[in-house]
Amino acid sequence: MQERVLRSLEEIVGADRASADPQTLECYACDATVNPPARPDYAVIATTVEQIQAVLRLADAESIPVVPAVGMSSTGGLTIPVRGGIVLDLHLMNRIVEINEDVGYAVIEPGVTIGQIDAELKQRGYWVQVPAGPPGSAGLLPGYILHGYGHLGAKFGINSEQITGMEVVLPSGEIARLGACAVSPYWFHRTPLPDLVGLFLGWQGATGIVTKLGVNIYPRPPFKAMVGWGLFSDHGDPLPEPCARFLIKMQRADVAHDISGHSWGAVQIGRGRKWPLPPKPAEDPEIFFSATAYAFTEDELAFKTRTLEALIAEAKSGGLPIASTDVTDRAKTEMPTRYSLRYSDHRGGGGLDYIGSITPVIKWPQGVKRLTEVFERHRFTPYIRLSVYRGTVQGMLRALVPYHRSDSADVEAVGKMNREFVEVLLDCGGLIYKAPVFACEAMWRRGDPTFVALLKRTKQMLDPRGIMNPGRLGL
Amino acid sequence: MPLQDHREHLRLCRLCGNCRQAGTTYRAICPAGERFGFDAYYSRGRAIIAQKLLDGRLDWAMPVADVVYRCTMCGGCVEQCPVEYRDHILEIFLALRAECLDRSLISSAVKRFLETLYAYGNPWKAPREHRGDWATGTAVTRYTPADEFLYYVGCVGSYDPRGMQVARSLGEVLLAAGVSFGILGSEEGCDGNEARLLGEAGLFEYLATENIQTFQRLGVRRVVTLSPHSYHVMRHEYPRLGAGVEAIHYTQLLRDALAAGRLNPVRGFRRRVTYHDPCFLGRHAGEYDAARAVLQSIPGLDLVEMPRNRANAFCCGGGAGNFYVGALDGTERSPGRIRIREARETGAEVVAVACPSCMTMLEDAVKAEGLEERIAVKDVAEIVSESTGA
Repeated sequence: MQERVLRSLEEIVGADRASADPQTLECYACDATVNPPARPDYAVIATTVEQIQAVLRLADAESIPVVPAVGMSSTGGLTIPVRGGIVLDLHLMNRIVEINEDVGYAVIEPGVTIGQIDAELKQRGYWVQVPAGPPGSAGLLPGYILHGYGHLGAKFGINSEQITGMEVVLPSGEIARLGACAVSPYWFHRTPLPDLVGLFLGWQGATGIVTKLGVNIYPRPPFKAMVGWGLFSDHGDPLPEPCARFLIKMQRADVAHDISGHSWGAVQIGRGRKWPLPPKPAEDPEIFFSATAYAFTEDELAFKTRTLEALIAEAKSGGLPIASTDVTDRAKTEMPTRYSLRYSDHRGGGGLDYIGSITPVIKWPQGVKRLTEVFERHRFTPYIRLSVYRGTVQGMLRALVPYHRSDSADVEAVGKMNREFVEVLLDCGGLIYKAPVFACEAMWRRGDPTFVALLKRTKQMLDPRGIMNPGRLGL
Repeated sequence: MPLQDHREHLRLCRLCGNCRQAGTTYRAICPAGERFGFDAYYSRGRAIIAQKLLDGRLDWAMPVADVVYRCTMCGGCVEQCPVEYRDHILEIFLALRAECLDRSLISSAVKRFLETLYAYGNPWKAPREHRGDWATGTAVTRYTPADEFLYYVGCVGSYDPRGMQVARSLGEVLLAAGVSFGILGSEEGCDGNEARLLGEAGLFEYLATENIQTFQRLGVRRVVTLSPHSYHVMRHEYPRLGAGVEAIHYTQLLRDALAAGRLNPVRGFRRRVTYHDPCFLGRHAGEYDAARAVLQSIPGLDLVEMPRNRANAFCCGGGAGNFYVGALDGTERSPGRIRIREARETGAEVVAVACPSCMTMLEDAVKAEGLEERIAVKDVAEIVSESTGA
């Protein structure tokens, strides 16, 4: 069968764009996480929507799993084909289809990288929310449809809120347009039509393949300022509740585009320091925070900076254990960056895993404390990242784990820690984004049974033969 | 260093995929990746393959060797890699090739190339006594200890018809500049760079040692090379084998000659020109400015840059023996054709090169693209020759 299917795939994409060679397949079997490797049966590079349609029709007819992939820099095991099948590599579908400055959106193909769209928009005086975790060589589309966080989150919210519409190939091979573009020539918004875009957001490729994505673009402010403050709390209570409330107050001031924090360990790792770290000096904060503001004029920037500094001064005078910190070097960092995975060699061995959540900020004190306990119990450096989002004052709270890929004890420990992180974050009322299979399963165990049943029915409706990334969502 | 000794180095690769794209424009950087598309052809994929071979999850076999050899060793991925892995990438690629060779896992084209090089001392099966034929009719003479420079021409400049034209142009320009130099003619041997980069360390040492002995016998102290490949290997590898010569690339010599007024480009060159950085002059040697300085000193020449330039330049596809074995040729996604289209988009009428391998790769690409009437490929030495009347 494999030979026959391979011939059919070659007929669709060309002989040099389909492969069942072990060395080709092995590259799609793993990522930098501890998620178990799994080799696909075929690797296919599609360069047109028509090819994707034909591949899905073939896969549907033959009941072969299909897993879409783009930049291959996923750190959640998200493109590992847990049940084999076809990895559909879309990185050469990298056209920026449209940039509409008048209406304020761009339409991109799946292979357009974060750096590519940013460079193009920069020339025009625009930008998009840049996914803040991945390197610039990663795809923008996956970072949006998987609900990642971006560098303007305090102003614009989670990445997927920036989506204005999409074109998707269904498992049947049909093409659907969702959002305004279903009716209008313009990709300006997901409403006022019934919003079906959600059928493909957060589904990790389990319902269809997004082949075009409309995203908001915004005029790019030329001025940037960053203010920093350290939180000098008790290590046993690293993020006291009043400090979380201060973050909420700062977000509601609606001045900063980004409000983020890094645990002391995260900062040391970011500076390239290796395991094991010395004890934290008393003069260092438990958590380093920063607020970044952009502006179109120097006056606007000065106002925003003054406002943020006044908020910090007011909080300090009100008794919060905080003090300003120097963020001169960090302020120079531009997004996107190619250095985002540099720190993963903290313990040697270059592995990186993480569990990320969207969690109400008011629950962060509990979350940070318990995540820190998990790290320390397993003798890993506590690496915790926090970013406040716009809106209901939730935010990204995540635990990252650099580990040694060839150290089986490290691998085993990270596997255990990840499961513990998931339970901690769910206990805090959080939800896991870009969730590995075990994290999905943990959410469904706690989830409303009707919600889970609806997920299964939706999957069944869109993908009756179950070819799209089967096993990935743990349904 | 054998592949097994790179086990810990391979763990340094973060699998981030930065090796796919260049600089701040995030355009493609890997010629093999652009040509074939699969992750296996990018540096990230090669790290996974090497790791899996060491772990026994992948068997050494011809298809693996096929991927291993489809790389020009251009260093584009090295330039983009943001972590310590960059220091080991090309050594790991070399170790993979050496192991393939040890296991007789090489294509017939690579085998033929290496056997020909061993038997004839050049890839053309040409007699050694014809090495200096390009100089016939010129005033270029054999090297003597009284000469300041040995002009080392290399195989492409000695035997490839287009390369011979470039070798001749440079010889005449050097004469016009009053440079004290001579050539080895039939005493010149292959520099061995491509054999080394194909993993044949023994053949490289044999060829390099022969050249080094010739240099020592003749008292050569300074070598000016036509090819960046020769420049690279004489600068970085020959010293390990005992060579005590200073190697420079000809563009550096011409830059100095023009600055000192020893060459006068009175005729100018009234064309729009874009410069293609050769990988072994740019990324491998860090020399990006000499050729540009030469071109900018020529009246009327309008120098424009391609989007991918200097450290982010896109390889022509000819490095590491691929000039001879053509492992990346054959389609519109061949690196040379991609590069020519990029050059054409600048509005340039001429692509200036400073490498005889790039010359042929890009000229072939011009023909394949059907752009003969719209863009020409010229060596920097030819442009200087035209502008000075040398």
